[in-house]
Amino acid sequence: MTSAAETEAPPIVALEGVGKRFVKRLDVAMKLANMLGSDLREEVVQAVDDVHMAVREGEVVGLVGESGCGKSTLGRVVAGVHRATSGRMLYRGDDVSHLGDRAARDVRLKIQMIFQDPMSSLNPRFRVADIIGEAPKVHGIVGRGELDGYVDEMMRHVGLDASYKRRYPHQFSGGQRQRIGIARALAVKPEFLVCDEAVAALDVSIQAQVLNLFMRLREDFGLTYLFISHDLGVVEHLSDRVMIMYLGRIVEEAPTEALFATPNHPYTQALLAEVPRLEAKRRAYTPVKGEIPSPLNPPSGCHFHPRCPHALQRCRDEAPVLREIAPGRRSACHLNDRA
Amino acid sequence: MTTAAEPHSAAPAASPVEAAPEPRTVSPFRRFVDDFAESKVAVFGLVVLVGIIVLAVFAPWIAPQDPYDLTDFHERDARLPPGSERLFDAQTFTVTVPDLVPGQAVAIDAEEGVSVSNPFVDGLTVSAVLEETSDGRQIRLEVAADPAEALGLLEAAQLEDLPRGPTLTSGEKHAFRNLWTLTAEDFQDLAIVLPEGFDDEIDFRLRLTTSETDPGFTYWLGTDAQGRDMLSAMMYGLRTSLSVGVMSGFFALLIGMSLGLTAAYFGGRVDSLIMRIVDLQLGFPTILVALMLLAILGRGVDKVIFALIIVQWAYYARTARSAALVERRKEYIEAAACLALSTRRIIFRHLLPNCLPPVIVVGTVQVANAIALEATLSFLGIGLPLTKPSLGLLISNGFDYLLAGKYWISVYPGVALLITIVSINLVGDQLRDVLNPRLQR
Amino acid sequence: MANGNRILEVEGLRTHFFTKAGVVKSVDDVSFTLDRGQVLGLVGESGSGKSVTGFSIMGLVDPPGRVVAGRIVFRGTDLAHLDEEAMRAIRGRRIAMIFQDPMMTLNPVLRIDTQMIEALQAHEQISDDDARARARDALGQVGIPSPEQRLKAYPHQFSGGMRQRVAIAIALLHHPDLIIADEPTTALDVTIQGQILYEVQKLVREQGTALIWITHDLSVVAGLADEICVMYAGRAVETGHVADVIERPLHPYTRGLINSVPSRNPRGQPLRQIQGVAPTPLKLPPGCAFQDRCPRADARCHSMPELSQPVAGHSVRCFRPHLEEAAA
Repeated sequence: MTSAAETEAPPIVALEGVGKRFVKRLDVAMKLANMLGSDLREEVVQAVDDVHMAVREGEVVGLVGESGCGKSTLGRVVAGVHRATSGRMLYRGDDVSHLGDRAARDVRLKIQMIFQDPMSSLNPRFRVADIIGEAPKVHGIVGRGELDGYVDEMMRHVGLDASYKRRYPHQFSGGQRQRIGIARALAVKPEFLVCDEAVAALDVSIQAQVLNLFMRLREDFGLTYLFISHDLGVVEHLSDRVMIMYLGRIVEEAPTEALFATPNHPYTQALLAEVPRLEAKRRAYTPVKGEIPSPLNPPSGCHFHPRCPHALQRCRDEAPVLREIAPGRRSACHLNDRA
Repeated sequence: MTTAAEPHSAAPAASPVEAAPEPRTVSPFRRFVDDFAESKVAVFGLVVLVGIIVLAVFAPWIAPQDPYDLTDFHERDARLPPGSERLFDAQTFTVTVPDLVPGQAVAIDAEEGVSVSNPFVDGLTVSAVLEETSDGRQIRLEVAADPAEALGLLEAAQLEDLPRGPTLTSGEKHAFRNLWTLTAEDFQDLAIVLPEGFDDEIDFRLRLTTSETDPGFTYWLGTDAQGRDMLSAMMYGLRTSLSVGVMSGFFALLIGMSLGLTAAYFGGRVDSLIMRIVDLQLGFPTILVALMLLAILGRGVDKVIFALIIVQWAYYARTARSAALVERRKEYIEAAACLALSTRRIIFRHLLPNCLPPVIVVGTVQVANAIALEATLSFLGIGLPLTKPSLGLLISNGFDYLLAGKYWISVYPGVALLITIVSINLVGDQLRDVLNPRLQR
Repeated sequence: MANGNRILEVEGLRTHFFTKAGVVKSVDDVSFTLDRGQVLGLVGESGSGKSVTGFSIMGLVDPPGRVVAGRIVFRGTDLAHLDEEAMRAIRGRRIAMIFQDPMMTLNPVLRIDTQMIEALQAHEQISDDDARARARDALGQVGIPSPEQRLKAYPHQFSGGMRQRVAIAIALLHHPDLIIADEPTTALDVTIQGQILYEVQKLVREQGTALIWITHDLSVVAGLADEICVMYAGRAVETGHVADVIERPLHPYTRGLINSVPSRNPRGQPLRQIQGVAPTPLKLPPGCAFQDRCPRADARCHSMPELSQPVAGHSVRCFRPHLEEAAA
């Protein structure tokens, strides 16, 4: 867990300058309109902008940010759902885009994803047994005769009664559906789980159950997590290390305790100040000003400068780089240069 | 762990968990059936529709007449109002009696006047037996029919040229001509009584006349201008209309859906190209495109189906694409990608089945539209050939007689068309409600 | 009882839905009171009946649902027995509602000013100009910058947080006595939620409006509410002052909820979870609905516990409340 281990084995997943941009191209009608004098441009969203990160084996990394900050896109790039438009992703030191078909498939299976919406993340027309068993069968992870027992085993691992495997997703509650999604991921023997707001859609009392399940599975299977959430409380509880994202960029990265004790970036400070706490005293809410800018048209320089109480002229002109400010801590803020 | 906390097993169970009942599995199909049955009107529509389909499919076995068999109907039955019985020409058989041996029956075949339009005539025979009675000799005449009911067709008979001397036991002799008039009842017990010592050859002619209508065959819905039974013609017409509608709908669905899914999955230029063709297609009035196509291709069932596919596929393509665009963004598709399943598997096993519901809804409505469109084309005289009577063609055929008060030729096929389309739409409406993702509970 | 500040008194409210599958007792015996300027946090999980309680007060329960029993006394009038006509005069004017999705109140094809002026003129004789001025002030009150220009915008031109502010501004137009807010910040980001909570807190303090804040998130109301009413499976299981409920919960469910919050658990250790799932509303066990998940349940819990008040001002529906800890 300390930085001493860093030099020995390569991190399980490493991102080097990964970017993902979505471009909405002009269609014929829009090009025609442009010829006639209107000014329509291609809509470009830089959802993920030059992200460097490394996740070591067995670690839980929390990725926190508000809606539209690109945390889900980053998670999907890691899980292989989206292809990065720039940069490289390394899996145990190998560049995934240079792998052969078989090896690429294997890496894909090693990194699985748990989704936010337990309703739409399961194919409504499949029985639970098919949802969990399809990939192991297709990829030959288990033999034909063993599939049944394997599915039962997976269901038991996530705390589901195996006698329900002939049922369809709609017959389960939200928490149980989320467990099915976890069993589906576990069935291909992954090493790395990307959890994208995996408990956000669940009821409070169910959230705790699923979080406990994640923690137990981590020990049972030696899993590594990238835990994406907007809920700082959840991330604080679960993670070893936290990254804060704002409009496509990682603005701060630190071991959990350090980050919550002494947040460095003004955005992190604002975020921590806003978190509703379960304390029965009237709080005077002191909100950050302004709204989250549109990712279609992000502010120049540091994306946070229009809302930042400490913004300087330099923040408007120049994007700060993510620099090490203490061992294991990085932050992207010009204010750190003044000290 | 929360396995025991499943809602159904949460009852205060004192017995061990094993006693819990087998979990009930409600398949999506079962749920769909239950939801569908919620609307009484739709169930009624479905029942009517199934009835119509049964009529159409089994038409060759249950229709009273084969409207394609030109020998099975006759001009003289043309335009009979509903409830009429089938007409025949009055039949006349002339029978010449050969030498008779006492005690021996002789079958005498009808010689002439056999008409094909009377199915019973072939089986009509007359037999004559010379017999000795206490009163003297007599020749008993019997008419037999095969099948036996055909006897009912016998209405009257005349016996001519009986030699001088013998008389008939019943019947009425003409006042001055050598002519006996007989009714059907007279044949119950009919004999020629030979006077004492009569030894001449008996040489007479029996003229049998059958009835003009067939009490065993009623045109319940009247006949058309060719003398065809409207009921049979409509059953066959339904068969044609439904098969044209369903076949064109099916192929249009196949083509439209594959193009729509392709457009949605690949996006970009492929999407633009396909969807612009769809826009172009939908820009033209359907009937105009179909008219032009048939004007070029000519008449024929295959050509009508082809034209209907051309004008319909675009609806399916558009529906399938929009459904696929929604489904594609759902997380279970991303999950399938995460599990490194092949693109083909994702499209056909995951994406396609979940895009089907809206396409099926459009399909039912489009089949109804196709039937109506085919009827329109046939009505205009450019659809199906005359030998394949569809409902539209039947309506068109009767149109000329409508003002002459012979309403049944047009109106009944029209009603059949109406019932068919309304019942399909009732079913389609309920399907839309049940399968609509927005109303999903 | 003769409390001039009393805005709302809900007593024994029961709202049932008569579905084909059976009677769903969405709200089953809920009581609370609310004074001027007070904030009540109505807390529960999905299906606990917290939203239906809000709708019942607004008289917006649609068939097959029906308020079958109870009194909803709003400033001396029992709303439960009011006809639709009289209810309409109160709804929107004296009682306003804010929804999780602001588009429930906003018409997407009308400009904000049209909608706000219409809302004003529906209940008041007021000129267009005056109405516009009131609308502008209301937008300013909820912290929308340059309200004059924003009046001319359409709902889709606002971000989610701004839209919710507009919905709040519309709710405030008539200076209502009571606002019912149904999860208004659940769909919003943390920083935006903080802004909305700030504005609401300010408005309640300035205008003395009573507020019912319906939420699933205890920590949101912990810093906002005066009173908290916790609901479970349609029943109010615990009601009391916010500090009492949060710090000394009496009901095992409330206690379980608070204990399962990550910040109340040592970091990295398993959370103290409530086991099991909420019962389906059609198959509630006889007696306490929480018995199957409750660590303290015994045979008594098969019969229905009544609300009792073991501590002054803090009532609970449980045979075995956590009294020993509460005393400590």
